[in-house]
This record gives sequence, C-alpha cells and structure tokens, in this order.
Amino acid sequence: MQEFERIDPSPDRGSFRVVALWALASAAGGIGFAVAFVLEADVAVLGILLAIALAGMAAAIRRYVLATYPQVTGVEERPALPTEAGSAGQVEGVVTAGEQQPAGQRMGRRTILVAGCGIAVGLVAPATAMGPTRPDIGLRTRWSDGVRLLDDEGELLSPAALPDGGLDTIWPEGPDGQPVREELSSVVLVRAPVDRLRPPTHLDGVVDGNLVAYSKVCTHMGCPVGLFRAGTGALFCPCHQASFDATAGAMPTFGPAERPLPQLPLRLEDGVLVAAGEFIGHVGPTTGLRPREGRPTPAEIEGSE
Amino acid sequence: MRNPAAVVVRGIDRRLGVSPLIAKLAVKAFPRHWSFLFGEVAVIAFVILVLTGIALTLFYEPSAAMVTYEGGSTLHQGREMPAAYASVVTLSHDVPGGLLLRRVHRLASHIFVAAILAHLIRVLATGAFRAPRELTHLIGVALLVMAAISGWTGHNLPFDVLAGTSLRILYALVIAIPWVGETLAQWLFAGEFPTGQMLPRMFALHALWAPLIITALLGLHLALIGHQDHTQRPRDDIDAERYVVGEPLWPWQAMTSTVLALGIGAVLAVAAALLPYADLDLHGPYRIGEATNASQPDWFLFWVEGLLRLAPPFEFAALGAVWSAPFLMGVALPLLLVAATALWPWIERAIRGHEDVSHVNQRLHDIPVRAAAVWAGGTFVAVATIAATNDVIARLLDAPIEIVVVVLRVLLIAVPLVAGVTAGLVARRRQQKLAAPEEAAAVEG
Repeated sequence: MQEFERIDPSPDRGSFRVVALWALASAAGGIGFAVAFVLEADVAVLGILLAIALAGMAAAIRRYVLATYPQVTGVEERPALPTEAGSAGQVEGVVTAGEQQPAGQRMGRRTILVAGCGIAVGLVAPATAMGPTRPDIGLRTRWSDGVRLLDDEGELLSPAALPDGGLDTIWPEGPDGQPVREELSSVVLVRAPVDRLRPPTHLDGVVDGNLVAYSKVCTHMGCPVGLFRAGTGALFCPCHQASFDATAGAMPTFGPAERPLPQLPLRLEDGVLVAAGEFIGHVGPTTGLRPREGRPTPAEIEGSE
Repeated sequence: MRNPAAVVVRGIDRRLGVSPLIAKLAVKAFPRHWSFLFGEVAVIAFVILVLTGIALTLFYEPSAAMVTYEGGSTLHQGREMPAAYASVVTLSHDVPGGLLLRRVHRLASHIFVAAILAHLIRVLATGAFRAPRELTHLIGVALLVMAAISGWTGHNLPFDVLAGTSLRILYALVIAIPWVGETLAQWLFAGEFPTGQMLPRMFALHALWAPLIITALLGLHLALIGHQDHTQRPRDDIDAERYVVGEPLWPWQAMTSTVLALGIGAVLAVAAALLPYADLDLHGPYRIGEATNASQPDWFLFWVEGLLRLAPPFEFAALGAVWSAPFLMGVALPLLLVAATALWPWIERAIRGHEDVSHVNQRLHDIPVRAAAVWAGGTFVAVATIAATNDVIARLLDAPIEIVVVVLRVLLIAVPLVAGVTAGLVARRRQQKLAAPEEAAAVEG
C-alpha cells in the first residue's frame, strides 16, 4: 500500500483526557451493570447501564485512535485477473489431462460417474425415515354417526345453549368422555342469524333450521376459522381473511379460500347434539397430490333444494 | 515497554513465518463509504446472535409437552402450557437478565436480516455483483435465505399462538406442492401436523445447522472479498479499475469495526431497555384450534404473507397433480424471485449480450435493464409486504377489507409495471444523452 492522503493527529481530533473520561464512564457502566444484575434490577436499568458501558468504550477507542495515529488513506494496485493464455490455461491442462488417455480409460471414468449416481440414490432413501407418511392427509377425523359434541370445557351441548348469532368451538367426545383436541376434528358450531339455512347446506344435518356445524380448519392454509360476524352470518379466518357464508353451506364469499368448509351433519339424541356422520367433504387445505371436492356446481346447489 | 501487539505478532511469526501475510493484511485498503458498512453490520449482528444464542440454549426446552408453570409471572402462574413456552416465560420472569437477553437476541436478528437486505440492495443498485464477483453475490443471497430461515425458526421456538400459526401455514404451503408436497411435509414435520417432533427439529435447525451453514458461507464470502479486493465508487483522481483507495485495516478499519460493534451493542441494549418487545404476555401459548387477529410473521416474510392474502382463489388438476393459488403464489413465485435475484449477474449478462468485468460501482440508472428489474422487483415486494397488513389497513381506514384487497391486487400489478417501465425509460434516455456527444464527434470525424 502506498500513502495517498494523510491527516496527522492533532489535539482537536482527540485528547487523552477525553479518552480517559469516556473509558471511566464505560467502566462505571460495566460495574453498575454487574451490581444491578446481582440486585435483580429491572430490564430497563440493566439495558441502560449496559449501553453506557458499550457506548463509552466505543467513544474512548475512537478518540484514542484519532489522537494517536495519523489518518492515512492508502492506494493499492489490484491483482490482475488471469487470462486464457496465462494461468487459466495451465489449470485447464491439469483438469483435462484425462482426455489425453486412451479410450479404455475414459470408459472407466464414465463408469465411476454412473456408479456415483448409485451412491446418491442410496443416500436419498433414508429421507423416508424422517417421518411416517400417510396417504390420507385430512381424511381421518374422530367424527362418525353418534359421536357427541363437547365444548371447550368438555360439556355436552343442548341446542338451547347457543343463542342467536352465537359461535362455539366444539370437539368430539373421546372414549374417556373428554374432548379429543385434534386439529382436524375441530368444529365451529354456529347459530346462523336466519330462520332457515340455504343450500348448498345439507339441511338434513341441521338442527332447529339454523344450528349448523362446520370444520374449523380453514380450507386455505389450515388456520382456525374462529371469527363470526353475527350480523351477516360470515365465518372469518384471522390469518388471511378468507370469509365463508355460514348461512349457505360455508361457501367462500371473499378472500383466498377456494373450497367451502366441510359441514358436520348433526342430530339430536337424548336432548344433546351428536354427529349424524362424518364431515361432508375433505378437511383442511388443498394438497398438491389429490383433487379435493371443489365448489358445488350451480346444478348441484339447485338439485339439493 | 514493548507494544504487546508487536510481541504477539512476533511470537506468531517466529513459529509460523506469516509476517509478510500479516503485514499485507494490516495495510489492506478498505474503500470508505457508509453504504459499504451494511455487510459489516450484518457480521456484527451475527456475532451478537451467536453469543446471546449460546446463553439462550441454557434455558430453552424444545418440547410441546404440557407442563404447569410455577414462578414469578402472575399472568401464567399455575397454568398449563407447552414446556417450550413455559421455559421462555421462566427465562423472561424468573432468570435475572433473562428478558434483556431475549430482547437483545430478537432485536439483533432483525438487524441481521435488515443489514443483509440493505447490503443486497446496494450490490444490485451499483452493479457490484458483476464479473469477477458473481460467486460472492450468489453466496450473499444464500446468506440472506439462511438469515430468513434462522429468523423464522427462532420466531417459532417460544411456541406462542403466532408460532403455532406460522408452523401451520408452512405445513399447508408444503403440502400444496404438486406431487411431492404431502410426503415432503410429513418428512419435515415427522408426520401430520401437529407433531411432537416439530420443536426439537426446529431447535436443531435454528441453534445448530443454520449457524453452522451461515458461518461456513460467511467465511467463504469474506475470503472471496479478501482475495478479490473491494469494489469502489468511481474516482476522479485515480484509475479506480486498476487501483483501490481506502483506509488501511490497521488501525483505521479495525477501529471503525470495533466502534460500530460497540455502538450496535449499545443501541440494542437501549432498545431492549425501553421497548416492551418480545413479551409473551401479548399472545399466550399455542393451543390447537386457536389463532388471533393481526397474525403476521416477522416483517421479512410479510411479502410472502401478502401474496397469500392477495392471491385470488383457484386450483386445477393437471398432470396428475393439483395446482393451487397457495402453491403458485405462496411457494413458486417467491422461490422464483429469490432465484432470479441470486442468478441476476448471469441473467443480466444474457440480456445485455456482453460480459462486463469491472471493479467500479455504477449508478442504478446507468443500465436500463437493471434499473427496470430492480425497481419492478423492489416495488412488487414492497406492495406485497404492505398487503400482509391488509386487515390492519382496513381497520385504520375504516374501509371494508374487500375493497382494500381489490385495491392492493391492482397495485401489486400496476406499481411494479409503472415503476419498472419508467425506470428503464429514464435510464435509456440518460444513456442516449451520454452517448450523444460521441455520436456527434463520430459524424464530424
């Protein structure tokens, strides 16, 4: 490096008295931090003292260097890049030396390359041990005909428990009488703000004409569809704002969801709500492998009426 | 009294004979400009992250098993919660300095990603990625991706509502990949979401693999810069292609780095003291079937979240697979944008039709195709980022969310188009103006 510019140290660029002051402030901050830490001080006190210790040291070092060293700007010649004719040519000669060999040896090299692919395949196979893979994602839930509905506290539900415009999170009852909190079995029970629900709701799975249950798992990204605009009967996902019409088969009305929330058919047994079967449709987001039931066609909607 | 630094250097040299190397390194010239410090800020943030991260591993428990919290937080006292969440509550409320540690780590992670992003924007805008530095650029983009992965996995470790939600969304994005998505997702998550393996795997990725990979890539990145020297801004007083002008490493650049590191540490400490940040009390632990309003990932993933919110719903079956909006807009498009950024040196060379070997920075508007691409890509990511807060915007403006989404969909297409074309045209006009006197001279000659 050759010198290009130079500024000599001078008193106005930094003095040792200032250096000492900053260094002492830093030390005070550091010791203060240790004391505060032992006394279990609040995060605000600890943070401020630590900042004083660090900032004081930064200022001291800067002042010290400015006061001590001439500020030099240097200039260096950049190393030249190799040219085709120069060193690059030599490297090529080494790498391609094999091509000068007779044909038989070249075949040996190809065999090694092909055999290497075998190793690669062998090393990929253990990935299958990373997790059990099931072909039926989103197809298994705990619901079947006769499974009783439980709320989040594990209580059985009578239709009267849910007032107009009400929404409740529901779980299937397990063998031990406790709610089974499995995501794919989560359900929202909705008292839609209308007298009668409209198709494509499966009306024979509805109680009181307006009490209906849908999967709580958004068909967009799987977030829980937990918000209900009681006035319009819209179910709403907090993640990406997908909206579903709870009064009409939970069809998507707005936002990024493509498919309706699957309906869980209900019936009454001994005065409490039970499932009348499995979900109608596939639970959860789209997978990249198997087509899911999409929107019902207009003909299907009319046909169910 | 002998200078202790000299004693150390001499001692090393007597054993290894490296004094020529040290002498060369000590006077290595570092071109001076504030925009050249972004990379350095990222390195400093990474060092702070590793140091605070080591301390955090002593307290964190990567388990979703339900436990009962007992301790100083009155909000959580006696409640059931995942062990991971409980360990973070304990660290925040019952370990002296624990909250400071968590906040500094969390804030440093934002600075880490932001500094790499600013660095990338500088490199793209000034053409510093051009030959012979394409490899350095490629590694730089890989570092950005690794930084984002580190940030995302770290964000999920406390296993609060936001963490569970973001894990659920990743799982949904992976299963949406045609053909292999279902299998891939179950490999990654060790089964169907949610599994007990999620947290241990994410912890290993966050605390072991990501820092190892970042360290390796960073070493390579710095070695390449050391070997090839820095680029620099054009100079009037010297041929900047042939000579590099700057401060020597010792003591000036070393002083700048040290002061910068201490300064960043001080800023982080003050911020951790004053900002009620990274507090778990706001959200509560993840419970299956629960999510909150205003669910957003960390800011550097807003653009992917925004694309998911704006994508109109569609899916169709073809070639034995399902092609859906979440895959095309939420997986394929972001990966395509990252790949285009990483491969930009080669893409630009192919478009312009000639290789441009240079050590001198340009202005963004010197090259029309680059100006168009950077403005179009940058504004696209910016609008998508804004779209990730569409629910908040709707609430603030008291406007229906439906209208906000439609407006943002239009802006997502229109703004990059207008910005890209305008930037390209401005740059081309500028180029023609610069070329004009030469043409005039050629006609005269």
